[in-house]
Amino acid sequence: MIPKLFYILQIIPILLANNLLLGQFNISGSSSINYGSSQNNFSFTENLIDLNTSWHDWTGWLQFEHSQPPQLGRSFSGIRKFRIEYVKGDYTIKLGDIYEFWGNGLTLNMVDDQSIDLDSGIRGGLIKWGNSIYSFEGLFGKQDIWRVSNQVLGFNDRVPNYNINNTIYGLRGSAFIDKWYVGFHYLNVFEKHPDAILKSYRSINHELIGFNLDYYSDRIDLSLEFVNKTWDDQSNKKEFETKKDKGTNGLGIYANTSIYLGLWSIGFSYKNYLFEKFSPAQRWDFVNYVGGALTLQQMPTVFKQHSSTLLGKITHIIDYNDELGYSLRIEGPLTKNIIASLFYSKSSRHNEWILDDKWVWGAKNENMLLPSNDKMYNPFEELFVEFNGYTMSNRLNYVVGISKTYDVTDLYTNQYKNGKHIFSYESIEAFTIPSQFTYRFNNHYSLDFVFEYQEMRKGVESRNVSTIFNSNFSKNKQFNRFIGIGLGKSPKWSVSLNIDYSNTDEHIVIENGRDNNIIEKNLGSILDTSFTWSSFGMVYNINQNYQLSLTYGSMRGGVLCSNGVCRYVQPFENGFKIGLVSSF
Amino acid sequence: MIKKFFFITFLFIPFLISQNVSPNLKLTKMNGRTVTLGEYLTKGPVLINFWATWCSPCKKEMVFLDKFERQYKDNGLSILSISIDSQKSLSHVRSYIRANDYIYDIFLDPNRQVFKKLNGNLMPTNVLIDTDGKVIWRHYGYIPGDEKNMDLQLRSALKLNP
Repeated sequence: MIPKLFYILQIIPILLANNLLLGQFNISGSSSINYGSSQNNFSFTENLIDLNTSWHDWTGWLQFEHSQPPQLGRSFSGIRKFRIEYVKGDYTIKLGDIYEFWGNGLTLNMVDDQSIDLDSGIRGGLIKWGNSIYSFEGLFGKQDIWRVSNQVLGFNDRVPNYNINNTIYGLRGSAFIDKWYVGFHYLNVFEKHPDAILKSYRSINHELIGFNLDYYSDRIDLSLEFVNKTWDDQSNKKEFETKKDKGTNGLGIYANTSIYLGLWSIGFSYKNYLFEKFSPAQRWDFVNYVGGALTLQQMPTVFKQHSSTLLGKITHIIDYNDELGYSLRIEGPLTKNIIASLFYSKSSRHNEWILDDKWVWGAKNENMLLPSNDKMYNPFEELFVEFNGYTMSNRLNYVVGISKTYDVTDLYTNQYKNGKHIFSYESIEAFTIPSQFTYRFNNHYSLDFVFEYQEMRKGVESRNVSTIFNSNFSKNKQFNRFIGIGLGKSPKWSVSLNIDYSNTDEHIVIENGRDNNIIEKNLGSILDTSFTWSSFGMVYNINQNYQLSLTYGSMRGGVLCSNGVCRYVQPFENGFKIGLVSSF
Repeated sequence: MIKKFFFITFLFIPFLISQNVSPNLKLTKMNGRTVTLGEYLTKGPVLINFWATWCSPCKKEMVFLDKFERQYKDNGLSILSISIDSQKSLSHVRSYIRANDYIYDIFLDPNRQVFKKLNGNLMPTNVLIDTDGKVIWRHYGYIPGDEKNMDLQLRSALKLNP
């Protein structure tokens, strides 16, 4: 009783202060509470509260987190983010957690995407002066990057186990000249890179210099960005003498143009990212190999980001260190009710990597400007066509697509010996038809129907004497289907049933086995439920400030991507999730 | 510590029921130039809509936003459609808007800073702000038929007959 009373007495001054300040301060906020529990221990408790305040020319942002553990990421309890901003006339000052981007992001693009546990923001300061023509800014701060790696102890799919600390200084100047926009920037990043074995740090100094040039008009858009990156290993500790790498010159080029002809547009994008040459064995090992693209550099991917469940699972994982590619886009109305779009993307690595007689990788000396089709260059190719629109007096909304994807994800061997070519690589080849229909019965009720079909061939193709294909699945081809049926009553609620089923799965998933939930057991009479994941979901809008969501069932594991950055997410087996989002 | 955290949060809630948006809020146009929210608030109420090219419900809703813009533009309504597509996929935004012939103003928020300032959490998020900068209506998500309620809210903000 006495501690409780003491606790309440502590709060009274805060209450009084609030009342006094309320007349001048404006405070608003939102909260997101998520809880989940599953049979396979994919459990989480995630609470985030954002508070935004403003007072004259000042604004403030405070984010509290209490996650034990979150869906992806490290457990945390306390103030996660904060920022104070002062904006008056041409001046802006920010202190705290800063998220900025320059140009198209080849040099700097800070994001906080909790769905994939990516946070590339800095904690520091920014000062900016800008009128309608010129703008200058300087920023500085510290960055704490956490990543998942199997090269260090404590590997876990969900929880990052490797921490890099960066100290950052940057300057940028930009100007609008009629329809042109030009910017120059310089960034210095001092990286403390922990060594996997020596329990010590390497000191890496990165310098990035770049410019962007944009043109914007009714008929045509143009965008060009270039960045040059150099790095230098400044570690002076004895233990690193043998490991000390030499910094190389890296570059990034991105170009994009769109031409508008009435309601139609034709777009072409080009990327050429070569920040460091890593062999097929090194390319994803950011612990032992330094000098590659920084987490701050979240560059354009130059391929389409899909909203389809099945296409999302085969998203190409971009290698920002070494990727060359382009995309072509055509989009416009065929009739008043049919919008058509076509996307074609192609990319590959810059060089062919070859194993010598001692089984050491070496890159062929080439200067390519366009991607290769050769499997030894890790090519990726995707053609996607989509039709969408409203019909039946705006009652029916439809989206129907078709996609063909080919991606060589890993090269294992590539050797030319005695006139013979010996190789092995892993690839994904898929044909996907995503579709979605929404029919509105009246002003309140509507029905949603999602159907996605996919044929996928995934495995290792190798040649020694003859070419053979070893499927990653228990069968040669995987046939995936995703069905979603939903009923909604505006503006209050919606319910949905999702069924994700297949004819086979990867060997490890089959070996682990799984228990069916109640929905899957009921579907047993019509489907082979050993490869079926189904769930039931409900969303209820309590009022305009509160939305409650409930999900029961199982969700298939796989790759979860957000713009080329992907994370493997384990399956969610036979459990439930509760979410409450509110604004106040 | 956890108890304290939640206690203080709930303590604040009663004080927060009246939300205001600063007219100094800077919004970035597709050509990179910035404008302040205040420039639109002088004309009348503003509906801010957050969307993305990868968000299916957002795209279903946009056809109605365009209808409202055409219908209520002369009454002083401004619809500001803010794409939260990241810097990586921004090249698709303008072609999508052109193909659908949407006439409202498009803004970019690739790092979701404006989205967070306006307490956005789910997609799509709609925030209706009156000329004093006060948030008078907010809606998360889109279920077909939600546009009817949105229409009522817009008419009320514009002081038109329901």
